[in-house]
Amino acid sequence: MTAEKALQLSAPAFRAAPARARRGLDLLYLGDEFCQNLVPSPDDFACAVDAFGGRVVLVTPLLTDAAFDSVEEIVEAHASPRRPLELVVNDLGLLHAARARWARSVRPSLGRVFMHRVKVMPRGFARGFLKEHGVRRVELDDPALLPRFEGFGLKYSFHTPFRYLSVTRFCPWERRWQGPCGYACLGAVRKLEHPRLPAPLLLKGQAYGVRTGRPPRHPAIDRLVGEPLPAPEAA
Amino acid sequence: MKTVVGVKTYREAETMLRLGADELYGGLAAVPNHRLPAQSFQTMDELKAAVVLAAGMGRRFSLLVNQPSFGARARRTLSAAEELDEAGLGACIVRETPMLEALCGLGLKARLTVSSLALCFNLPAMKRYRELGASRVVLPFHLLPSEAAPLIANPYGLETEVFFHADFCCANVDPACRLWNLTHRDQTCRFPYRGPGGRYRMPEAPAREKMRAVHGFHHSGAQYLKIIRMNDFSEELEVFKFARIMTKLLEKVRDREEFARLGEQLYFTVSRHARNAWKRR
Repeated sequence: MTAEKALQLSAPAFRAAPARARRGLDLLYLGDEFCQNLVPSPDDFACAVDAFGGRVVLVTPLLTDAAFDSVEEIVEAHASPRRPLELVVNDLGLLHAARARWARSVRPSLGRVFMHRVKVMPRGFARGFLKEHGVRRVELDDPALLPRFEGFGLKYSFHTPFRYLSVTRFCPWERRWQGPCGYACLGAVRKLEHPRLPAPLLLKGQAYGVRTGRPPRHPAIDRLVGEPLPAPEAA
Repeated sequence: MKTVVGVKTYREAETMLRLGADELYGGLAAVPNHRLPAQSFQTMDELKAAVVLAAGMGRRFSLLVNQPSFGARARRTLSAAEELDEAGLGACIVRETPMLEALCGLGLKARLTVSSLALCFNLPAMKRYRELGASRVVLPFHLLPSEAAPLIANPYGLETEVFFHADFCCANVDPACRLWNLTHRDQTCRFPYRGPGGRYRMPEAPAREKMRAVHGFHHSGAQYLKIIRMNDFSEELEVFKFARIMTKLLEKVRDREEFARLGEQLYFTVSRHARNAWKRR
């Protein structure tokens, strides 16, 4: 089986990306799992759907009420039972809304932040929780987590080459709490080194993580999600 | 705002109640909670005595069950909650939905509080927690007053509690952070990293920004102010003293910037914990 190929871009990165960056892709992941300033506005999403021409997955982080409203607007405009919208979810409120309000028009995929909460649920509870919320796909960036969801009948999207380890809401690029954004993080990655760490940390957007290698082979990984990881600014 | 203060011994509970803490909370070493066992009550008898003491004074004592637990440990948690419920436990502070549902199923007199670690960021999430039986939500560290305002004014009748940001705030979103796994022994979020342009520290809001947050939460209507447990109780006493001054100041100083300026000055004058924390960075 050939895995689908997807590219993840934040809304401003998609606007800045040349058309050739989208060639050969099956899907576009639009948004961000770690910063709500990088989630598309309803207008951004509509433009991306037109420009990309293929399936566009809406990627969302933890959401404040204002950001929730924006996501809601996109779902209302672009999701229908005939053309369900794939939605990467990292927020309990959104996951619950996806089930309660959009069960037939939205296909939720468990995001990389939320996934860590479900993995610590008792196994039987986790299975029921995912089933109840109509989750059939999980976003992963760490092969060690594959066994945690084994036997649940899920499909996996595997993200490379950035494995997230932590996320902040005090913007490290603009040195302030979240608010109107200057997109100082756009196209940049910072390399952070410390002698006690086995490998350098990377700061990408609001997330800290590490660079990873090739995705593992696994029968349930049917989608590979790449994201641009520019050469980091070194020390 | 009413103060909710973390304690780890009967003596600390007694002291904080005498000094005017409106509510207390704490964990039991044998029950999984988000801190090391040393920061919890060591025995059920001592914890129960603290619960009885608080209940006798008409004040709430909440039990922390804010760490995921499975099998035997989960059963132990439920059994501890039942035992303390008999003694007059005020609430359980819960992080994950399996435990919330299990506690709800016990039909305790104690209420259910959603931990900040549950990351309740919006009204739909809050509504879900209401449906699951919660009566209070501790708002996540990183939610700003303007973002928290709809939750504080929620139509579901849920109370809201905020951290005393002025003293402490994680650089990163706690339950979404796995930096500990890098070495399994260090707070790697506190490391002085070598990065572009020299030394790099994972940033957190400066003191004045945190004071603005305290002011904002108060004026948005948050009812409860949480003061965290500390290893050194004498430092916690200073922080509590500082919090009391700040809550009085909130009543007197309406202007946000003036409050933030005064708060920042006091922050380093009153609190040894604040000064030490600053030095450690």
